Amino acid sequence: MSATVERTALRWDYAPAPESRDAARIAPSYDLFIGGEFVAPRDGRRAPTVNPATEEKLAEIAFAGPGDVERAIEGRPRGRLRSGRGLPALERGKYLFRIARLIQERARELAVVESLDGGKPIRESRDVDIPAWPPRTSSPTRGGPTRSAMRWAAGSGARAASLGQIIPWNFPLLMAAWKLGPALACGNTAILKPAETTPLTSLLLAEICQEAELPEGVVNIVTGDGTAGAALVRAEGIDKDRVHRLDRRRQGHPARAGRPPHLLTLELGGKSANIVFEDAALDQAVEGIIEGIFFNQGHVCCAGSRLLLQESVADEVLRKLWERMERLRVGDPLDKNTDVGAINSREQLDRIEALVAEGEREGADAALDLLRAARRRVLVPSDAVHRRRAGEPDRGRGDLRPGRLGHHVPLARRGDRARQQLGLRAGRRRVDRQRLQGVRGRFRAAGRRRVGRTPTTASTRRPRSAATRRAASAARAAQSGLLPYVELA
Amino acid sequence: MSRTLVPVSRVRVEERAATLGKRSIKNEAKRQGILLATSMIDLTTLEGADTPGKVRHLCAKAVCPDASRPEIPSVAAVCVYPSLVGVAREAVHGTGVAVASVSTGFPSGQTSLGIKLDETREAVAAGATEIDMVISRDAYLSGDDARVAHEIAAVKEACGDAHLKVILETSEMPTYAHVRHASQLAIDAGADWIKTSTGKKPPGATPGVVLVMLETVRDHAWKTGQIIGVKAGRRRLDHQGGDAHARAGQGDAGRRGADAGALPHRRLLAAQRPADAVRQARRRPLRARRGLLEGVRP
Repeated sequence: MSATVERTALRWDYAPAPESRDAARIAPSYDLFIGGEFVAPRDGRRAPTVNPATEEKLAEIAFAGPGDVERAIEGRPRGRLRSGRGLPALERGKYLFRIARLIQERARELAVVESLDGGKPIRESRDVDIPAWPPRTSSPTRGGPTRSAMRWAAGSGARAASLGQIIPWNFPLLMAAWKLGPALACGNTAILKPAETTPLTSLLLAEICQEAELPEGVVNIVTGDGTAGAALVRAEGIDKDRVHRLDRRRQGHPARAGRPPHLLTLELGGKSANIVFEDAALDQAVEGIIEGIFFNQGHVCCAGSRLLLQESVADEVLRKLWERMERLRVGDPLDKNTDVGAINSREQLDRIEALVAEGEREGADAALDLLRAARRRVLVPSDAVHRRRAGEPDRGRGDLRPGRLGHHVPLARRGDRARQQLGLRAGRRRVDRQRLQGVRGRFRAAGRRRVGRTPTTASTRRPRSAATRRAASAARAAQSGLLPYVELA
Repeated sequence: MSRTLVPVSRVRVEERAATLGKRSIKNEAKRQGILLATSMIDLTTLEGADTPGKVRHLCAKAVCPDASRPEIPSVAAVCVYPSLVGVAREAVHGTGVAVASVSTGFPSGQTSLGIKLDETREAVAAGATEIDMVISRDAYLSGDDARVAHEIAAVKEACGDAHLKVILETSEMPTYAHVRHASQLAIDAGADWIKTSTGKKPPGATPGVVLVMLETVRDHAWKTGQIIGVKAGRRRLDHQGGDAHARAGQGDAGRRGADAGALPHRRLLAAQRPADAVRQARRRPLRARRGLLEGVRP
């Protein structure tokens, strides 16, 4: 028997585990993707896109002007993917699956590029941002309409229409897929404008469309700033625009642009509130709050940026929340163990810092100390905290009135009674869940006519298992998300 | 008798555990993690076929898990049936490795309290410094929390100075809320440690169960300052927190306890602040220095 091995006090922490950048093949410069090929912008404008974590330049991106948008509109094959007379639904489906397969093949590359260009932690770009459309079921993190919903849309006699689609910088690839998938399934052509800070994955998607031999001009990708977006929204010859904006200060916001000459769907966000009641599973409510506000650095349109706590559990929840926040790993977006990566752009960072400074002036508490201590470039957003006594109807201040809560309200609670007492109304409510259904919910919400209600059909009244009910509800919701495309007919 | 369960959300527990399981542990972190995990193992044999020779062999492995790698520390303890405690005691004498013994009619616990207490006293008398008892699941599942608590308290008394680890057998519990409830019950009744499972029934110590137990322990420490140990029983977790057995598609969980070659982290402790941990380690060598699961600390 060997001698006693002395027990030494072992220290333990994660070693850096950066994802390799080798998978990312980024060209030094990118043109606009119009009519199936990459073409230089007419007025030659270009600007670099940077890695927000290091501000290192990744590539030169073409900035489209009104002329380029016009070219894309003129060049599109009207009706070429059209249901019935053009490309039949079956053929369109083949293109979709081909593109989906190519996305899967290049999943790692897309994830790395997404993290480089947008600052998201690789953990999220790897697990959340790679679209798998059309998914068999509406899986929590993959988003987008389901196969059955696409099949329904494809057979619904939708007219081939020309779409302008403007997407934000918080989920560049996923949003592009959410917009393009239904558009293609319904036989439309699309002109997609990615955000100026995160154009790279859309351009890789353009390469994938080329590789899939999608008919020329069906998908066009015009990179650029607000000029291109404004041109797209105002353009003649577009049947519909889907605009998803995070930046409200820009000129040319379609809502301000007067009545656009065509159909317009706006997808907007809000200051959504988490509401925690005393009978909640507190540790898991804390997990929900953390995911709600720190997922994707808080760059989520329905981020749970406010917290309403029942007074009896407020201290405990805050202690748990605080302890949990300290354990978030803030750092290099490419490190596989990073929870919070880089803020998307210098502009956003400056804005957050200004808001934090303002909050401090107004007497916000210690949460801000933590924020300040965080590294300059990877500032995290914070939750505003409100406490509320049980059953307090709050008519005076009206915090719980619709409109004040934001459109997406997650509840940490097991029952419904207090909710009714509070007279809570919001566009979307979630009990016990925040992010997972929330992101998926974004897509569905787009098609909802009556907020907070799911249309009841005869079949939903049959007693079914929870899983079946969820699947049925997801299927209905996925269909309603496609309605804006189908209604073009 | 009615009981009130603290709600626990299954979906979120499992999500959180899965996120932790996806962490990348590389290089120095991996090396340190393996050493730390090894030092927390109760190397175990609990078979009808256990012989003095097999136990001595196990003890040699416990003291020196790998002769070709002297940097690998001894495990924390060997764990055997009461009848073999004497053999194990002799084999590890003076090495710092503790002797643990299962007791109270392990693994089913279906015997009378008198026999459970006698078995415990016998094991302690033979030199066991740690006792792994099973709770009476018949009592727990029929809602008799008072009997469960009474038995734990009685066995604790029979243990004397020996550490008491209370095995909840979470595999037989319907929900995480019960895991939490039973953990708190055992802690309040005097457990020094709470342990997930006997290892005789799948799925054993799942990451979610361990997480809920750690959260219970942390809340208890916040309230009272007392730190309770957590032991993940008899299911091999690989060094990334995933489940080696599930991956290998094997139903049974680590018959031989921890094979030293596999180096699982067998003893997961309530994570502590490093300073506390060092203090704790000096006082009780078997107390863990730091938990492997982040996210939980008193």
